[in-house]
Amino acid sequence: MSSRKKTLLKVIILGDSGVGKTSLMQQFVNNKFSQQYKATIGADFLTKEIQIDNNKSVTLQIWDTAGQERFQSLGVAFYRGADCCVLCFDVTNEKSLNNLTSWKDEFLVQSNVSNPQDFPFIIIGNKIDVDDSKKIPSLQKKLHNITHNQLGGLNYPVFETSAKDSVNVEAAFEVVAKMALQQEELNAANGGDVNDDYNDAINIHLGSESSSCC
Amino acid sequence: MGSETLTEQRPPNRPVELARSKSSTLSYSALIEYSENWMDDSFQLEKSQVLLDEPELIVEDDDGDIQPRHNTQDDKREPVNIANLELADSQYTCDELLMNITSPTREVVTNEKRRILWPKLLLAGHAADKLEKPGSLLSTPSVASHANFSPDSFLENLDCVDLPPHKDEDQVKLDIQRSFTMLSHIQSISASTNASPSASVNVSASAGASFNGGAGVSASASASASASVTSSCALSSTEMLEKGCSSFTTIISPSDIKFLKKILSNLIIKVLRRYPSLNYYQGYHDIASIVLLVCYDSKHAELTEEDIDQDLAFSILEKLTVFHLRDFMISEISLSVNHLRLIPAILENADRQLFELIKQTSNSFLMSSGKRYDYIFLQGLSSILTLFSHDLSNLSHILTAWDFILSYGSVFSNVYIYSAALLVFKSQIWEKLSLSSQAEEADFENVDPDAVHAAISPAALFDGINDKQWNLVLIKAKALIEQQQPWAKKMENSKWTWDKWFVEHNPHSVLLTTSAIDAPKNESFFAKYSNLLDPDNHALSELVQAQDDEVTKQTLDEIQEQQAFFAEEDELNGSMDSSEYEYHSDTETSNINSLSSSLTLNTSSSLYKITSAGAIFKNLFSRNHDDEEKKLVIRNKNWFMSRNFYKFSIAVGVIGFVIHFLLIKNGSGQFFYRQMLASSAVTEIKNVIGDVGVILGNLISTPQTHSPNVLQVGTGTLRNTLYGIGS
Repeated sequence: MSSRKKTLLKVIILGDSGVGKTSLMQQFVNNKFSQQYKATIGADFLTKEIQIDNNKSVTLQIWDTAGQERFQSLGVAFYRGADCCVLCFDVTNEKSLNNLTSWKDEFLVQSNVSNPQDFPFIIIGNKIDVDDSKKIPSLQKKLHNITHNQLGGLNYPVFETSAKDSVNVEAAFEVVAKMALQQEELNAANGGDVNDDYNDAINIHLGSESSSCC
Repeated sequence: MGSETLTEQRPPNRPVELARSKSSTLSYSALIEYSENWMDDSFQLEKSQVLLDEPELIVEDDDGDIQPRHNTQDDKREPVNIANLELADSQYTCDELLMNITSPTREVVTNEKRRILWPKLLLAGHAADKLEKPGSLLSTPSVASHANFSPDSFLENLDCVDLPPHKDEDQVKLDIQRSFTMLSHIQSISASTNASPSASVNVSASAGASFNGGAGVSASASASASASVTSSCALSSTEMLEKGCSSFTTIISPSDIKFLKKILSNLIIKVLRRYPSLNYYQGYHDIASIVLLVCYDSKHAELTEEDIDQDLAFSILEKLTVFHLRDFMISEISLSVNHLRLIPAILENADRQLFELIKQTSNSFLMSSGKRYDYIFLQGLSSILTLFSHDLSNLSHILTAWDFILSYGSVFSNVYIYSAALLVFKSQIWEKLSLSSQAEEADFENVDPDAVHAAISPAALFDGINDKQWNLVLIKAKALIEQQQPWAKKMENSKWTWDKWFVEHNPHSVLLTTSAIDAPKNESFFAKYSNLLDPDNHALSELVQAQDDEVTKQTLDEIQEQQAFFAEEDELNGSMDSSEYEYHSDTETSNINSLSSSLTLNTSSSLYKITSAGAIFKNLFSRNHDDEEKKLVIRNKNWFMSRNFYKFSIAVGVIGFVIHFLLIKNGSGQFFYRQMLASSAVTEIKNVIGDVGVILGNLISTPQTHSPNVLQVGTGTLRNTLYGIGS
């Protein structure tokens, strides 16, 4: 990792069933959309190489996961070594919005990341192409409550996207890539081992926390 | 040979076939006769319907499908069929089907035939028969109204609406929206592709005439791929494919699919409401959709409700669910994981090199620096849970897989098929990973685990698979089963794989009961389990409960095993120097944390789990308590202390997990805890918990240094949770 070879960044997409995780990944990686994606069972990834910042080339390895709660416990097998986590909800489905916190918690428990307190997350509200009448009423307020809640709030960057019409998808993943790169460098500086001792990780990174996102 | 087929008019085809494969015709009618034995009067109606269907079946075959066979093949097939006849009685359906599937010159299994064979293989008619009694919810309409069947009245009569909704119905709705993608796929291909495969294989040309584009595309694939193969093989596979797809060519309009989705939804919800103790999983909808397609009998150009035998679909799906898919539908997913673990275990016996690749790139192996391997193999998840219906894009492949699985009467064959696929495509996998093909090479330390994940996933494995390859997979699977079954007797690794995961821990698994591969599937076998289908009887929910308990016990046992392993490791490596020890145990602990959370989280999906975990924990402790009193006098005090401390540590671990579950799972509680934790005290709590391990560790830094380490696992998990929630 210290060598300037290709940087591989592992990104996990989480969220309730049917919010459009597969569509987002497909839209970003293959620039296509279909109404007919099968329900995801287990997890699979696609990779895409992109340029960020000063023309630095990174490879995003994007893991698409199953949304049904039943499969959540298998996450531990897939989350290992993640550099960024995308929390998805459906702007027409309030429950999926309210579940974001538990997705985040479950991710932190299972991934065993070294810096749970400042691990990079990003929130994506998908399906903005859908008619306004079907959207969550006063979405912005609710979103604000969730992201700015002092008590374990999800104070992360939020993107509203449409995987169908390819709105904001690229932009969101560019931020994902930047945040993931930061995390990757952090880990590299830290000895490159994701299983570093908690206390060390916390002590070292607490200072840099505020600058890491948002 | 092909030209003969082409010029031949269809009507004579069938009679020729009937005359030729006498034995198969014989067994076919014998089969119907066989079914009679189980059918009481109430089922006579259905049976006569079946018999009436038969001429129709021939007619339909004649205009729908071609039978490109000729007489020279008869001599070859004859012995096979005679062998079948000898095995007649109870098993011949299975054997016939199986022989047929795995023989290079196979006969086509039509969906008409499947509609008769599958219920037999699932003993569908029989079990329902046992249950017929007045007042029974489902039996009444399914028996009485068959002749003048109307789905609407059926649904109303059925009262599935009256039954309380199943908890997973929302998920079902979501998945229904994404069902039948395969059909829309075929539709899109048929719109854009002109099915005119290379003329070198004559049959393909005729295929193009009567079949949809999906079939045509695959046919051309198989034609080009099988250039070097004997023509009879290419012939039969093409033929297979046509048969498989033929019935579905008409139902590809969007409105038809919409209609099918509605029926599918009814079907799934009917089964779920009837068996509320079973949990729905994503992928079950794929299974149900295949059942529905097989029960679809195209009579008209446009799809109508009469074309789908919904009673039959329900009957097939119900049995499939209760007898074969039950393991996947208990509260926990870890039993499904046990099924998947059999795949590396099968490979361990079949191909050491492939096994080593999978082993050395597995999570458990990497995280324990190569000292442990838990056989967990999640890549095959979707194939195993859906009996391949999620991952194969060619419908006829799915149907032959099901023929294979059902003729063994066991979902055990499921994992054999996946293993066989890995074996058949081994060279492809090696190519993808750019590995040297040297046979003795068995060191895969530098192979990227993610690349391996991709290469052995169904998406890569089954992408563009042609008929010939799929046939090879099934033949290989059959060979594996013959080599390895019964596992406990024949396989060296049985002791720490099959025996441990199933015989010891999960004796109620379908693999040891209703879907056992070695059990003779006869009337008495199913009579034993028919009470599971009785809604008035709690046999099924009790069974599911028992299975839940079993698998929870297994999970806890495995955690303990794991902790003992790391404790041992620690003892081996650990130095007596306490400062060094602390450093060591700290890093070690985070390792254990991640490993044990992998295991525990398998059990984390319900509060029920907590209570049953608590029960086990109580057992552990009450026994412990007895020990204490009886042996206190004679035990060396030191030894006693450390021993109990060890148990105590495990207990703290378990408590830690329980609290963790409560925090994570209890929605309302979560808020409270979060609030509590969000206060400034949170850091202190974290510190305290972090310290407890160390303090206690120092307190008892006797030679048995593993105890504090184990304790730290528990506190570590708590810490984990707190960080998760506190942050």
